[in-house]
Amino acid sequence: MAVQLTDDELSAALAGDPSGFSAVYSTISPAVLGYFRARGVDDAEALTQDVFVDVLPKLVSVTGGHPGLRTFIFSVAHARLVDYRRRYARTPQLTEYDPLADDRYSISAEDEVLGSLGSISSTLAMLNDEQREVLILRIVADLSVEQVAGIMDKSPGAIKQLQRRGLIALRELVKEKDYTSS
Amino acid sequence: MSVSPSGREEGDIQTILQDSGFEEDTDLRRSLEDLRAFALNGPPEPRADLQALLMPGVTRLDLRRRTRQRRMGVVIGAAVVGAMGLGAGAVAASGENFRVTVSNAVVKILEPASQAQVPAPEAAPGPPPSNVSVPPALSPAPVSPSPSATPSRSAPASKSARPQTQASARLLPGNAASDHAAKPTKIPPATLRPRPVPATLAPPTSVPATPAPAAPGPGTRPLAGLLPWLSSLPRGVPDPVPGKP
Repeated sequence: MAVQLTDDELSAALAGDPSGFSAVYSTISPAVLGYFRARGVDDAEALTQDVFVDVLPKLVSVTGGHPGLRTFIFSVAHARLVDYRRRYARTPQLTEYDPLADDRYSISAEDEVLGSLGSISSTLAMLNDEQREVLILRIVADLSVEQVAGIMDKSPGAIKQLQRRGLIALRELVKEKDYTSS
Repeated sequence: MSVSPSGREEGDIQTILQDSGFEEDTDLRRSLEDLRAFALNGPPEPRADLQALLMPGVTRLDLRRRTRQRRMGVVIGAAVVGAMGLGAGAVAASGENFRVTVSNAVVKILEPASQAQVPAPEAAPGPPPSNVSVPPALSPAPVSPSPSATPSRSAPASKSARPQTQASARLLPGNAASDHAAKPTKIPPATLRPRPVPATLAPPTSVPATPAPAAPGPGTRPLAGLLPWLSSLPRGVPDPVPGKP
């Protein structure tokens, strides 16, 4: 069960109280971590902590209540992701260890359990970048269309269009995968 | 009001599917629920700086970073300036050309000032002002330094012609020989130059007897007395040796 952020904790956080900081971190950091993992960041935990180190001292200037706080935190997370993508594009590509090429490889139970998450990640990777961003912000970050529009600097109508096209593409990919597996 | 991803999971996914017209697609719903599962993990363990922010009594961390960066900038700037100073000192100590260049530059800077000061005392005796070069400047020098010559212009005028003839005679040795040979003793140096003359100029009577080109001394001595700093400049005229050609 996820931790809920009460009004008192929100007020304490916006007043600069460390107890409110802890509540904000324990409530919203799982969504930020999931946002980075869904976008394929290799060190999602470090980027999540970077976001909160940057965000927590600035909470006193946040307005808009719970939606405003969530929009502010994911705006910073989105900017951090853009920076990460640019930095990643400049760094040399490293060849990862391929376990399938190893003779000692055996299928682990953890991979079987997390197989569904791996499948949705590979399916999301085939979407358009903006469609993927809209779907992740809408579902993982739990933001409204207006909040996503503010973060991505687009109109709500454009966000709705991107969401619809992303869902259509995702449905086609899921059907294609089911047909291939069956 | 509370914010919880899991609390709004069903409603949000249903709303998203309804907005796009896919509310009956179970495969798509399952995919979105898998996507929602990314946000259902626990919070990551905070590292040291984040843990410090979550502890009471800590307000900001970036201020310390800024002061440290500012201090590092000052240290780096001081190190760069010191290294440049050491490098310039090493070059000045090792390279002779550098010192020569610097001394020439200093002389060139001071030269206009010296040229501006030299014509001022030369303007009084009355030689043509265009002659700023060294040989013409030396010729009127015996007359100009005498302080008694300037009040009475008539009497020294005839006497002042003699040093000019001497100076011109130095330029033309043939005339000098005849002129100085004719009357070397008639012109006492004391009367011609009322200004006290250094002891080294005591035997000037014998100097005119010798060939004039080798003895520029009587003409240059008063000028050297007036402008002692001129001797520090690069020498265009050799020092006179009294009694020697």
